[in-house]
Amino acid sequence: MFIEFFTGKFITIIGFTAAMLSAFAFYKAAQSEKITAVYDEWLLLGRRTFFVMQAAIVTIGVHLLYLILTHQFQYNYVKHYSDTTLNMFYLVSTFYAGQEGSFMLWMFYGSLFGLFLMRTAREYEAPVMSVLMLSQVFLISMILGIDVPFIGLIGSDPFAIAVGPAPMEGDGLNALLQNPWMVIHPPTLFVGFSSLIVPFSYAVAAMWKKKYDDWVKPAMPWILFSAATLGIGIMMGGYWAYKVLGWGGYWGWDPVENSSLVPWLLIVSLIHCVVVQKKNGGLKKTSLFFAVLSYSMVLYSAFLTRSGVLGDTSVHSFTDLGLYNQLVAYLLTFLLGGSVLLAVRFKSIPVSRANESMYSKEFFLLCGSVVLMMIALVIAAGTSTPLIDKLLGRATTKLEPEFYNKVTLPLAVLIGLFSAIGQLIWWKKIDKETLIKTFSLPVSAALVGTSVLVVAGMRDGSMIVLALTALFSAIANAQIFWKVIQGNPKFAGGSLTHVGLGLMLLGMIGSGKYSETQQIDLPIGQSVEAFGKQLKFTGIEPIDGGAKSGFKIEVTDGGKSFIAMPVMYENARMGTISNPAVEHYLTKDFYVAPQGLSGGITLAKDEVKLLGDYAVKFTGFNVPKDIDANSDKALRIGAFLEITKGGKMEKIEPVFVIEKNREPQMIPASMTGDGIKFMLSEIDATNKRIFITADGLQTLTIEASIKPFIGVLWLGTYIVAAGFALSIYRRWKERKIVKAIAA
Amino acid sequence: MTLKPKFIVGFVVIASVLAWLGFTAQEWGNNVIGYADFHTAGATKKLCYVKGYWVKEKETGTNLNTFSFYMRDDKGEEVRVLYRNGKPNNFEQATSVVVQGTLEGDTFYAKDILVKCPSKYQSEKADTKKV
Repeated sequence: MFIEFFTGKFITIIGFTAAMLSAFAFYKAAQSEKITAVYDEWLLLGRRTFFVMQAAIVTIGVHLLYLILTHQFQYNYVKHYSDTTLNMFYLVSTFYAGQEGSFMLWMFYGSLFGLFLMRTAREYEAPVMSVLMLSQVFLISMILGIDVPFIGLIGSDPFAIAVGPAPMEGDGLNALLQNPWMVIHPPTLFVGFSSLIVPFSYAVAAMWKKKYDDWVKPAMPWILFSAATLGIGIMMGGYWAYKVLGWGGYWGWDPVENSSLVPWLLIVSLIHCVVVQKKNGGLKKTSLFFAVLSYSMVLYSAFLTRSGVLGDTSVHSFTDLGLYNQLVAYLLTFLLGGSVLLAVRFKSIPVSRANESMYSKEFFLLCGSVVLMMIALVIAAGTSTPLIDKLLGRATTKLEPEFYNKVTLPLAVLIGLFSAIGQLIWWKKIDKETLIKTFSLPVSAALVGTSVLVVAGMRDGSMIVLALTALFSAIANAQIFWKVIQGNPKFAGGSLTHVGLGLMLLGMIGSGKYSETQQIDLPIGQSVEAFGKQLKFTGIEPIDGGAKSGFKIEVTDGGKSFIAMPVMYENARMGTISNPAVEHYLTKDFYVAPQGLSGGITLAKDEVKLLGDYAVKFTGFNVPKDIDANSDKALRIGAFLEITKGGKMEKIEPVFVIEKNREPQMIPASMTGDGIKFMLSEIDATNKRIFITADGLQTLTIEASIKPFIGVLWLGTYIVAAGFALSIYRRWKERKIVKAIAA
Repeated sequence: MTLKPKFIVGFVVIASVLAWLGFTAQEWGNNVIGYADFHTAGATKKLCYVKGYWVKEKETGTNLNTFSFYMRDDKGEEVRVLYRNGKPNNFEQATSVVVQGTLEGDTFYAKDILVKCPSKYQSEKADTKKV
């Protein structure tokens, strides 16, 4: 017990204290910059206490990981999220399965960023680090688990031990999450979330020191890094939902998804403002505003998903650990701290009047930022409905996903438009004469492309407009990219990212608006036509030694034929789990999600249906003439079936027996000299229909869909990621050049 | 009379932002769905969400294309839910279910069924605590 205490809670308390000391020391250093001796002394203290906090975080992290890997189920956290059957890979992922562990991951990332900043931030080190350490103080407080008189319990201790004997087995990890994508999705998302503290800290440092221009240079690579990692994390989640969960889509406007998208939109707004500021010193206040708002939105998201306020409106929010007040305090400290500082400094921030013309390069970047912010705000407002209801004391309401699709559509059109026009004006020295010349090629190419789509069947007006602007953006930016890469490839990141954006918009139109879905019954061995393809369910293949079943479906599509194999399996904790099969075509995905396997067909009177190779016709019931409902005698109901196989017809009669106080019995019937037994499994008295099953003749129900252009969405995602990588490289190099000149 | 282009642009921007805000408010009204219990759902006959639990003891019908079960809401009222689709994944393991639809007579016609499972984000303990 003694050792446990010294590697768990005790170390957490040391880390918490060290973080407070460090934040204070960096604050004092920042306040005494002019007196070198005092500054150095406080800075040294700040750094030393930082390392104490760093060591504490690593120690508790390693300790928790050790407890998980050695299955110490007496610890609540270990018991709730893991069990002995998980392999090493998934065991490690249970570390951040709960709130406490994910806070530990968050503070670990925070300390890594601190390490980087102490090496690279130079004159910004003291103010930036004091803000970052304040954030660390709040984060560590979330896992303290200390009962303070008059305040109550602060934090939830991940090392809490259950009373009584240690359980032999844990609860295990949600089977849906036992997937490689899901293992890397949360930590990637968290890198993005937590790294937003760095731009925030730089912005606060700028306002603190009243140096409004220099901060953007060192902050720029960080801003891009946050946007890239957060964006990749979000798309990983979407890819997982699409490819593994069989949800049929990649985005559902769930509160948890929305709350990761909102900070991302704001950080992208920030990128555009900072680009302008670096170019000509404009938009200083706007940049600071977005830097403050984006981290505040990260904290707001954390509050929404972790405080329990969303309640039942989200499919996946965290368990309420009673951190409500602490999360509110964390959010308000940063939101109000940042905004008040901005308000105080507002008048003293110089305004650059360099470019006010509408034809200026900067105008469209500002427009883009504002539109992105509007998207972010409307999503944030929609996601907050349960909170608003709670504050107003109303009954809980929720917005349908369709709301977000509709209201963001006009804004998406503007994004397409501005990203094309803005980029063209940015890269080409445009005056009124060259305007038409520059725009003619991308505009006409986009018009041609859109016409093709209209001919192919696009009829919805708003979709046509969005497709037009998305194509315009993709083509214009591709054109710019081609030019720029021949000159200086380092500068091509921006245009490449926007090419990806245009493609993503196109992919969203196709897969979001024009996907078709059909529920199809596939009796074994029979060809069924759907979407112009022949589908034939040929059998079940055991996977993972029989633990899972793969349903082999032969798909013939013109000349092409392939086997689609969706998978279903039973999991003790989660019930039936299914994984879809996805076949990629050049312009679309063919998506097969299994719904269930049953061994039968529903028949109305005189209806003929195929069950395997057997044509089954239901001609009528064989019911006893005088039914006495009160009789204790068994009631026998037969169904007259005419079964035809290989030109041979035979009449058989399977029977359904109902007897008081007994389970209904089924007496099967089969054709002479044939092994297949037909059973009358269900009688639908109201609709006069029967359900016939046969051993070895199963029917697979699938949900098949065609998702046009979804590949374009993923391609766009890769291109955006590549564009970001290029930009980060460029900005990081630039930062070094400045340093070399300064030194 | 000549207006400066800047004013025209400014006017257009303000007008379109207002139009968009109006559109957003309207769509908000169209797409907001409230949570209710079966009693209110039956009284209003409006599309709503009802949260509750599957009554395992009562009849659960799984046909190829319809799925029906009895559900008990937070107030303890039990109603038969009919869903014109296959049985949702993980239904048996759900700690609670949220159905979206309308209550007509004594049947709740579900448009959608949300199954709340013990997920990565939700420990077993918390689920049982909720029930």
